[in-house]
Amino acid sequence: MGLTKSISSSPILQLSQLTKRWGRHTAVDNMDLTVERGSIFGLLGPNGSGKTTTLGMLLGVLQPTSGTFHWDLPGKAHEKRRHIGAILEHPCFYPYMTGYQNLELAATIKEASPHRVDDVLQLVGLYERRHDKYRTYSLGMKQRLAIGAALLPDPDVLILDEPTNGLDPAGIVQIRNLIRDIGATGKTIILASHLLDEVQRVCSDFMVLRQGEVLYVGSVQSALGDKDYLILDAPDRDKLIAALHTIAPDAEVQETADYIELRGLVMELSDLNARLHLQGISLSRLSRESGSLEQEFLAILDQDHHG
Amino acid sequence: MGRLLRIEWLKLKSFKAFWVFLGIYLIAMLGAVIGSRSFLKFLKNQGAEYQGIDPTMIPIFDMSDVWHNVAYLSASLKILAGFIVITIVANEVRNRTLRQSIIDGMSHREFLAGKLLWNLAFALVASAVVWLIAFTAGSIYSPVHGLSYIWEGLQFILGHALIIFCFMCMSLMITLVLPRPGIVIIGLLVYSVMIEPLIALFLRHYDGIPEGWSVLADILPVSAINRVVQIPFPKYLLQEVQTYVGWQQVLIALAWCGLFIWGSYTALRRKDW
Repeated sequence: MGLTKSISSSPILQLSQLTKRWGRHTAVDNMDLTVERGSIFGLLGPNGSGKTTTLGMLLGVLQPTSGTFHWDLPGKAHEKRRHIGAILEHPCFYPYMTGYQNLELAATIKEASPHRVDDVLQLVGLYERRHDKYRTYSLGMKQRLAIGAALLPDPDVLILDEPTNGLDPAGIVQIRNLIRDIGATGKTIILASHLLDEVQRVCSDFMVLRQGEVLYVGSVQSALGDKDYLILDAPDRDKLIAALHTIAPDAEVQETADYIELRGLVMELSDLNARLHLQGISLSRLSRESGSLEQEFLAILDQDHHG
Repeated sequence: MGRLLRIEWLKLKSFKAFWVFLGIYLIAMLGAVIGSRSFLKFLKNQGAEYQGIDPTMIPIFDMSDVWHNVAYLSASLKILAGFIVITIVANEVRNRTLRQSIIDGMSHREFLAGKLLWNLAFALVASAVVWLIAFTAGSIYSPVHGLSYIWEGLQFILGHALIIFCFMCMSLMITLVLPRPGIVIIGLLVYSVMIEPLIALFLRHYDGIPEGWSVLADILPVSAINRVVQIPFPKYLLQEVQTYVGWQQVLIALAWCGLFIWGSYTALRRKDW
């Protein structure tokens, strides 16, 4: 299966029929994908779906069985990787070295300025513990150090594979905000996660993988846009339902015990409120609810399972 | 080149296992030299003599024999240098820092070049230590001294460097293929001490082996590396020995080096990290 998302602006990453097999097991199957420069791209999928394998190939640590990929970054393959900050699975550092020494080494490998080391240590909140051995760090601190290392070269692309693993709620919020802030600077971010809420909150586009196959690729907005619905209520609920059928004959009106759900409305909220008011209906409740990526994700997996 | 060496240095400067192995290696080098003198004294005390000659009179530290003798003794400890490489590389594979180095933008070629430069630097520094030990021993025990004697021994010191470098490259390749330090250290020890000598014995003495094939015993990897600086001591028993570093042996050792480097590169490039 291969789906390509057409992008009008310049793509930063293009995959063509990328495949990885280990013996008879296909981890990634003929993946075609284009990632837009400046987008925050989410990779979704259950465990073993091929997210990390895909990223491993893109980062040069796994050899594709077939297919190609192209980073639109300067230099040869390994030089391109110096423009990418990446965490793949777990943080990988020398346990006997301090946080500072590990970042100093990473900066030398990436040919980044050594002055960046202190900056990123401050950024990820590890400056005070910079001279402690890495092996004494908590899981959350290790994860933060890995994010710091990824940010060392001031990368054009940031690849984060489960970046909030092991973080406490405050740490999760901190990393989420960091991702948003970095995304706002125009950098491309590829985020693999099984935390759907996380992807929904920060990503502009996403892909769903299962058993190495691409099930869906598109923007978060288009996936959730038509899933928005309204919640309304009024003292005279029967009158409200009748009015809604008149004002929006194509919309789906559903009554629950507590309120009325209205789906498929194509007008603005203020217009609806004004027209109901003209019919003598005063709303006691009016709000727009979003669909969730979780529902969409499960629907995509379920559709594929039964399809 | 400076960047690659700096990367290796940053990795090693706080790696305790490396310093422990290095200490053991240095002590063993000194021990081998001091021990050889003590061994001759022991033989004398035991009443051993050869054709009426007192064993302590054997001029093992005389200029210019001292260079060949000390280089040979130190080269016999090459397995310790191999252990250092195995420990370092296996540690990188185990901590997945090799993988992170690739992610961070090192090419396979750069990673290998860093290791080879490190091996070369280590072999040269170890050989400088050997030179210093030989020079000190020669200065203390030799009845003759002089600059000419010092330059005379340079071929053995360089031969020693080649042996250490080759063996480190061999250890590097094996560890990249099979990054299990315990298995590799035991395997390398068993191969060097038992398996290859047995194969050599078989090639040299088994009747069923076609004539001329016995030469293969000399080009087996460990044997070929060892033969760069050949055993000097039988000459004191008036047996013929090669008292120089031969081009043929150097070329065979370099060919093995090339093969080990190619093997390391292939393993790095083809394996999933």
